Amino acid sequence: MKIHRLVENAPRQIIAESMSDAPGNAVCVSVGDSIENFEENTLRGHGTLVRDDTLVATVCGVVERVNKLITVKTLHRRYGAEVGDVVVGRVTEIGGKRWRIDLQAKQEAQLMLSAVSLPGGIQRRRTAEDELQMREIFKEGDLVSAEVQAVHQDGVVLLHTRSTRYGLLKHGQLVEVSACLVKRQRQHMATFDEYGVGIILGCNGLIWVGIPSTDAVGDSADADMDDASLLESIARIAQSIKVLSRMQMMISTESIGQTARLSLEHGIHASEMGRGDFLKILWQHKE
Amino acid sequence: MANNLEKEFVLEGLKLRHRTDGRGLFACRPLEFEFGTKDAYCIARLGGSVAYASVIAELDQPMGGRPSEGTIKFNVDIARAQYSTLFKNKDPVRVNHYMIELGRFIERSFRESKAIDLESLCVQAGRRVWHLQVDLKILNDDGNIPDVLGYAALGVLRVYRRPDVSIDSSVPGGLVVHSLDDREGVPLTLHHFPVCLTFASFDEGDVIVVDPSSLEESTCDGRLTISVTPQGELCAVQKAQGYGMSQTDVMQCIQAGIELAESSCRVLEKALKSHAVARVASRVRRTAGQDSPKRVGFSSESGPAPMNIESLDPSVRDAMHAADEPIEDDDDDDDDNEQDDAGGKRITMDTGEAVCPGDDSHADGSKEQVLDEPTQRKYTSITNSSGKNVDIYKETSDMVPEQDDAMQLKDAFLR
Repeated sequence: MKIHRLVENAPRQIIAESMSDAPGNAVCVSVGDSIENFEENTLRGHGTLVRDDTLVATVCGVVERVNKLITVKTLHRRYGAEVGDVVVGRVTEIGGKRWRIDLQAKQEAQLMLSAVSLPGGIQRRRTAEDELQMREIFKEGDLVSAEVQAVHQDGVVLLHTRSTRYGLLKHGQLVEVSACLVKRQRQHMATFDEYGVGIILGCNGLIWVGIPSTDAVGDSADADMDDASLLESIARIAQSIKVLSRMQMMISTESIGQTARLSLEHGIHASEMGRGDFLKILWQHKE
Repeated sequence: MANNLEKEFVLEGLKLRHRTDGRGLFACRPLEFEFGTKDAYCIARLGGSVAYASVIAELDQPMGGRPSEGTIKFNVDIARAQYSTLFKNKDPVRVNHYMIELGRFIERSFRESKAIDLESLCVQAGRRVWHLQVDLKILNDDGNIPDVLGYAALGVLRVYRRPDVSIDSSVPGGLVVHSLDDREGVPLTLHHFPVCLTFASFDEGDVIVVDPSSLEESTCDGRLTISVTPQGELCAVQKAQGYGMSQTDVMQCIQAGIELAESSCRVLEKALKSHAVARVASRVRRTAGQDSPKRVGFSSESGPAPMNIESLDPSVRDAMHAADEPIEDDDDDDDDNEQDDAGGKRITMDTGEAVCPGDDSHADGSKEQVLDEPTQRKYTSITNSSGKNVDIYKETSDMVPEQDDAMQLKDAFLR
């Protein structure tokens, strides 16, 4: 059975589920479906079109009404930051007392120098020397985990790493998925104790899989790198995420753990998880 | 692009003989092929990397010095969307050089290793030969572009069928090019199947892996691309830049490559088999029309022509060719067609693949070549356009065993 056929048969429920801001009474529309009669004072938003006095959807998605504004929000779209989101991003530029971070959203996010915790944990005013030492903290190309501090009216996203949980990511690998598949949870940083692998589920679709970071300041994780079975577990978790993404299933700590466990039960090696037989098992298990 | 910490992670893993996706060091990513139903293109996927290949054939004078050989050219291009992500900060001239380098490597592995029989592309020595152009396009880069281009090229050369040409002395010019709708196309003659494989070396040549992912590619020190056949022949080697490899390492790669080539060819064979089935099914649907599967068959009262059974049974194909000959030499039929065509010199080819010089109605529209001698090309139409032609199928309908095979196959497709 072709994989895309499995995905196509996913009922509308799943699509509605993944739209976290439109749970129970989600109205799903397809291209050409009429939403309602277009009145004088309604505002037509993205994804709609007026045709013969009727508001018609131009994309497949969920209808969203905000006062008089009617839009159709699609499933796959660029990540839209919200305050409190845990994100994983790559530093693209340094300058002007801030780092510019690529979240694969509509705009680059900004991480101000004042929003990072200085090494040593002391609180003080940032001086000009601190500004010159910015590259010591994060340099271009580094992957960082951060939390969205604020989202301005014009769309500018401000991040912060004011906790020991956030910061530079090392000893691991990145998996990129569609942002809509990452389920909004209470905890976006988790550890799979049975494998000894930690994950950071960035709401922007970038997921970090690696050796779990300890809260203590310092590189205590260096010694663990020599474990081949740990690396194999990291690969397994990473492949679980890739497989869930391919099957268009919601990615959460629970679903990743289930997928990994399923692959172990069926004795499937990490490199073979992408093959049709495991995908079939996964789909059957879902139902 | 990977930062130093990511590269470090990859390297630490490789020192323990572990790859980020859990593969073995000499394991390739899953290989998939997709073919066009008109045998015009092939799309190869190697993990996330995707390449597209298509062939264009042109009948023209042979190149000077080789009067009885056709030619083949490979051209590598990159999809516009990929260009901006892959080569954002690179000089377009360097990008172009990279494309040419890839194209040259594919050319060496196919043409210079004599994988393609160029003499079989000769129609009339000194006068008319087939010139093939294989256009390769990079659709997505997830590491290991040369390999996926090689697979796409191999797939398209295996699946491609060029139009059939027959010598007909009664026609001025002496050649009749048959449309692919009238006559089954002729597959290319390949002597061996070269498979391109790339090996990446890390840690000063200590670790070698096959089929590097994009993360591994950015981490590796050096790369070696070879082209081998499953029979154990080496067609081409490319070691353009990066850290050197020892002689033993290169030999080890070649040995491993031969085994990998075997499994890749098996995947290709399987894909070609299912494509052959799909191709016949599409012809059945095309000739019968969408609504009437029952009308497909050999009964003479059926309007549309039945499917071309040449692809099914070789003995039937020979019989069909034997039956074809008297019709071609029939000048009455040819004259009818000649009057229909505007000016008598133009041929519209249904498929865009074959181009005859002098044919302005070809898709690219730019050809306005005038031949040195007046030639009139026409193709004999073996469709149901005139009553006479249907008689061919009346004759073949007397061959009962083939009919059963065809009906069985038809039933299998038309669920």
